[in-house]
Amino acid sequence: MAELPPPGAVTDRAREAAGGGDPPNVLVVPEGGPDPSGVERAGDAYQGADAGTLGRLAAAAAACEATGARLHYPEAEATASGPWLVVEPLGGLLSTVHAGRGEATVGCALPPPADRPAATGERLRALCAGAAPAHDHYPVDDERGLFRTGMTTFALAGVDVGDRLTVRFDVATTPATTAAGVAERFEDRRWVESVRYEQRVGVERATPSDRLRAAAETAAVGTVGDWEYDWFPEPTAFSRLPGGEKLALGTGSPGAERFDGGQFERCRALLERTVAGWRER
Amino acid sequence: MRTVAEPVVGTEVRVEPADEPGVRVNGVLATPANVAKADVRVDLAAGRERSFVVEHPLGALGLCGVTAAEVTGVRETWSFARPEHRFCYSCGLEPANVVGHPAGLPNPALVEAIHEAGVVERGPPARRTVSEPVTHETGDASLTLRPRERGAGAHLDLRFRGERLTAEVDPAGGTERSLVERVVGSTTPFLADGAVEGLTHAVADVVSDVLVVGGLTDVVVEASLDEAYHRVTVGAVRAAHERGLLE
Repeated sequence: MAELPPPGAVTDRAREAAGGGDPPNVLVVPEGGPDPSGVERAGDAYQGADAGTLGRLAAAAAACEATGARLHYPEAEATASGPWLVVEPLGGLLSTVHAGRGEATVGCALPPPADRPAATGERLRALCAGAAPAHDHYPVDDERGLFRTGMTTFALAGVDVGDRLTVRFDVATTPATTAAGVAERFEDRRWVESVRYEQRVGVERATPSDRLRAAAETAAVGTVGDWEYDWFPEPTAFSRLPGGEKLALGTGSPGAERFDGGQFERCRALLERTVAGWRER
Repeated sequence: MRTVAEPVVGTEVRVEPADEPGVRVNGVLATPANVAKADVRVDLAAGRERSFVVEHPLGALGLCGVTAAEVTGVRETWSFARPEHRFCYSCGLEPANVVGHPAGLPNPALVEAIHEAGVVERGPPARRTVSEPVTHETGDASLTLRPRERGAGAHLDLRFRGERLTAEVDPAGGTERSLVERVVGSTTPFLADGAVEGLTHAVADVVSDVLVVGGLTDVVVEASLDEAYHRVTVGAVRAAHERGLLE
């Protein structure tokens, strides 16, 4: 197994590899690159806040050097021709759909000042309980979010208390998310005066060609033993890239602070095989 | 072969009579060669056509003794909490490509509908066993298929999460009705914490994979199952087919 490069060398190597090469285009997200100063190499793994992004960037740089694919770093040149392979923490899954983002603002009446502290806490707890994910059949609290990924979910984003209580939620959206559906989550309480929903980023659904799909699916079978599609749970640079000829792939988990040599190897192999497969077809 | 007497509808699927042996799901014949995925669920595929969680309708059909049928997904709306629906949406497939039960049951509504409609015999019944024991192992799971006297049916001896269950399944539909009702009322172990409920559900999955997909009728199935046990159920019948051990 290849040794992970020193953390400090990864961004330099990516910068050197970027700009040249031929399609397909390869982009590691988040754009702008990881901060290698906060990552240590311990044994066969990177550890630190940006360990995963750094490891995937190292894998992408190695794959692009080996195949001559075009690495975009630190940012995407969105007008580049050819398909896009976007490298994300997908645990070996493939993705053509990224969830959207919105914001819900709930305005609540409050009683006279003497009763406000208790009422504020009670109403805030009730709103958060109403916003919590729930499903009749599926457990929604697993770490990976196997079921939650496809649900409209809410995260508390802010609370303002004055003459009225205003609570803001960041909303992870799906193609089924509607303003009316968001309002229904809150408006059945008598003290809720208003619910406003604004979409910030829509769900992105790419439509890659059979050629690109088949290359990635075959690469996944050879690398992780199977191919499976799932959604990425939030918008990324993938969502902004123009056109439908794009596909996300990669190893590691969102937010993980460890990325080991096996994940590096699989990510590199997944990319190299996808590039090779796409060019052969 | 045995098929439904008239079209019936269960949860997520419509089942119509067939003139030829075998069960097709959205047009794809249920055979080991057409299994595209077998771990926590079973998918059938041919080209870009793919059906997800087929073990639920296939288990129901097998428990009712149906050996020939056309199964069609009927769902028209998305349920994105289900990973299989997200897979379909990602690939340009439709909700009807997911034929598994939304609550993880082996389609009790389908079993009830078949019992009401009845099953008809068309042509002589085909009986198949294995000519020698076949074992398939993956990780902590293993499954052995052993020959059984022609006409004896399937004997299941299953272990899962420390529990053991034995069952007699009549591939001609004569399985004890109370057992069938218990099995199709049990939630998949993927969604149920209880060992007994998961093990009871596994009976339908083994019937789906060994009897319907594998085409065996008279066989002893001894299995120690893990959390992704379709790897061994499908793995064993695939090995039996590839080695030419069906007779």
